[in-house]
Amino acid sequence: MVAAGPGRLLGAIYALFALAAGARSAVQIATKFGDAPLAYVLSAFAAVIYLVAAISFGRVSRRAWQAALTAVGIELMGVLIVGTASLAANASFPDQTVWSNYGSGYGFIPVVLPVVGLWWLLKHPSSPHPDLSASVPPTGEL
Amino acid sequence: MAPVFSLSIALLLFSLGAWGIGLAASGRTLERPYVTATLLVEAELVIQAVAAAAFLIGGHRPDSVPEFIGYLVTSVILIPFGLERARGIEQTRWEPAILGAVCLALAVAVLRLLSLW
Repeated sequence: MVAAGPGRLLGAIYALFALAAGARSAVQIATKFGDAPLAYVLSAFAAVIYLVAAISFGRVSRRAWQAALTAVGIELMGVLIVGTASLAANASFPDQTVWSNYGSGYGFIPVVLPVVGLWWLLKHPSSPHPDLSASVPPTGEL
Repeated sequence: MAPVFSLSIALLLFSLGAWGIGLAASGRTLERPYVTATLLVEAELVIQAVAAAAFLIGGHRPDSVPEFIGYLVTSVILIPFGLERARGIEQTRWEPAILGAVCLALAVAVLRLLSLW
C-alpha cells in the first residue's frame, strides 16, 4: 500500500537525510572517533531517527503513523536541544552534526522538516488512508 | 575529475530540481521528458564516477578518501532511488516533487565531491 503523495515526499526526504547523516557519522566514527565522540554519536542517533521516519512516512497503518510521530517528535527535540547546545557550548561540538546550529550546515532543513512532518501527521490523524486521491477531488491532480 | 564537467552536472541537477518542483507546483505529473532528462544526467554521473575511480586507482588522493568514496557511491544511486520512489500506483504531482528533491540533494553531493577533489 502506498500512501498519498506528500507523505511519500517526506519519506523520500527523510531517506536522503538518513543517508547523509548515516554515511557521515559512519565515516567520522570509523576514522576519527576520538575527536568529538559526542557529536559523532549524535549524528549516528539522528541517522537512526531519520531512517525510522523514512520508513514510516508514506506507509499506511496506525503503527506507521505512531512510529512517524515518535520519530518526528524526537527529531524536533533533538534539533532544538542540540542546536541550542551547539551554540551555547561550542567546545563539545568541534565537528558539525546534522543538528548543530539548528541544521545550518544542511540549509536549516533539519529544523523545518520535523515541523512540516508534525503538521502533516496531525492533519491526517485518522490513518489508515484518509488522503488517498480517491477522497480528493480529482481537479488538478491529473 | 574535470571540474568543468562536474560543475555542469551540478548546474544541470539544480535545473532538474527546479523543473521537478515546477511540475509539482503546476499540478502536473511525472512527464516523459523529465524522466528522460534525469536518466541522461544519471549517465553523466556514472561517467563521472568511473573517471573519478580511475583517478583514485591511478594514485590521486582527495582530501578525505572515505568521504569522497561515500559521495561518489551516493552520486550514482540517488536517481535510481528517486525513480523507484516516484513510481507510484497513481501518478500525482508528488512524484516529480520527489524526483526534484532527489536532484537537489544530488547537486549538493556533486559540489561536495568537487570540493573534496
